Amino acid sequence: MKYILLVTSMLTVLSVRAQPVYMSKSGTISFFAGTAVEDIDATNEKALSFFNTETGEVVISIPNKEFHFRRSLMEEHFNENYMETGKYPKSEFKGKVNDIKSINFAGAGPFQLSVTGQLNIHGVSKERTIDVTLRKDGNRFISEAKFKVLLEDHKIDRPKILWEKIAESVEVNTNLVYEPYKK
Amino acid sequence: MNLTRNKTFGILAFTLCLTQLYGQDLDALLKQEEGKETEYATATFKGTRLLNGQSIEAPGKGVLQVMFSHRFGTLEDPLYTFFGMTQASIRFGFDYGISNKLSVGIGRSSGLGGTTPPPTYDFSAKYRLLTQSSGAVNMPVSVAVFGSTAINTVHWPADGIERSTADRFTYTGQVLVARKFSEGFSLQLMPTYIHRNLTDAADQSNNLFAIGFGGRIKLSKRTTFNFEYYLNRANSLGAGYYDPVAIGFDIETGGHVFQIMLTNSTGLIEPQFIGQTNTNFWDGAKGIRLGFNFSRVFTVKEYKK
Repeated sequence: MKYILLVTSMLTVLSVRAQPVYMSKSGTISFFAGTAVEDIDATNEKALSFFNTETGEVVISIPNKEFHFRRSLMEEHFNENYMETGKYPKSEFKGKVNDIKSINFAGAGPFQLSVTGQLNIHGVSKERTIDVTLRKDGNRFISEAKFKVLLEDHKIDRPKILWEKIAESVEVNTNLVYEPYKK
Repeated sequence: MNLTRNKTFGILAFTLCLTQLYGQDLDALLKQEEGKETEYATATFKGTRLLNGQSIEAPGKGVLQVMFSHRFGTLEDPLYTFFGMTQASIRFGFDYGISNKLSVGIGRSSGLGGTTPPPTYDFSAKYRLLTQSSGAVNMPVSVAVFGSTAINTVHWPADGIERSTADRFTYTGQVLVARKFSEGFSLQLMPTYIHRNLTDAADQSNNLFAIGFGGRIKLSKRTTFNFEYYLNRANSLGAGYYDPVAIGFDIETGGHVFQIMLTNSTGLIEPQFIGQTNTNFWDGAKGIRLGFNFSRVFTVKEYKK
């Protein structure tokens, strides 16, 4: 009898306390760096992210080599000359959702979040606050964010000859699909 | 009763542990999940040619590469010949990436025989078998195979010797094994087999086996120092022929790769530079000549997203 009570209470504790860690493995990160002269855009579907709905912590890790372009030459230049992906294989974001306690994830959403943290691209970190929209889809969360990255902020060189073609600031779109993390 | 209480505590402790796991450090989780991914080596070399010979690289899918190559005269009398530029062998070639693994090429070498190679058409294909990777899949090297057929189109000399069409054909088979040790350092090994239906002299083997060895050291984002050597089996080349040696630089300027080198060969395709190099690199200016490869790539087909 005691056991049954104990086990039941234990299960209740576990189930009531919904798992706060979510993982995204099937997201899309894309950017646009073109100008009127040339379209330069790339998509990455290998981003990995964790999000803790209780503490508000967010980490995103993007393997830079997985950005794929329409032209393989652009991809090679991106890897070799701009991002130097051999030296800096990952782009990362580590941050926290501001005022996480005020957000009730049990609600229907969508939730407007503001996330502050360190954005590390090309080995250079910069503190950023990024607005994120979080939608609920069953037991999943889908996050969407759009922001700009200045190449200069991350010490990414643009050769003079190509200045006309590559934009000074890059428009980044992220779309991450978070599912409850199972160990 | 006491036992039961202990068990109860045990279960409680276990429950606490479970809940504790939920607060796990996200960084640690990230590291753990990243270990399940595979990272592939890219840009082991800048060009599709190391210097004279092939590198493991090929034009990407839908990319057409046009390559223009020259090898000049020797540097023996540099002021009189302006560094050997009074004579040149030339090759004009096209390579196209059918997929990211398979590329095909066609080229035409121009010369008139004698000190420069005969006019020759070549048809080639390169296929990537393995790609170096780390992470979940660990592969220490990249491997590609290369094959080509060359057709000598020279007018046969009127020397009374009867020659057939088959005598114009030469075949090359090559395995390219490369490893990018670091961002700045790559090495490549190229076991090569060449069959020539007709040789220039009786002391030359119809079948050549050579081991090529080369590499690159990256000097800056856009320049590398390269070296390449093909070691032939002793006595297979015949008198007056030497192993090809090349040292040079790759200079990449977005879409173009410019390779400038010092080498002893005039030939621009495998049977010519491996089998018919007729000056000795170690003779210095008497055997060494300037050469360059200039390539430009064009995107013919874009990826569908």
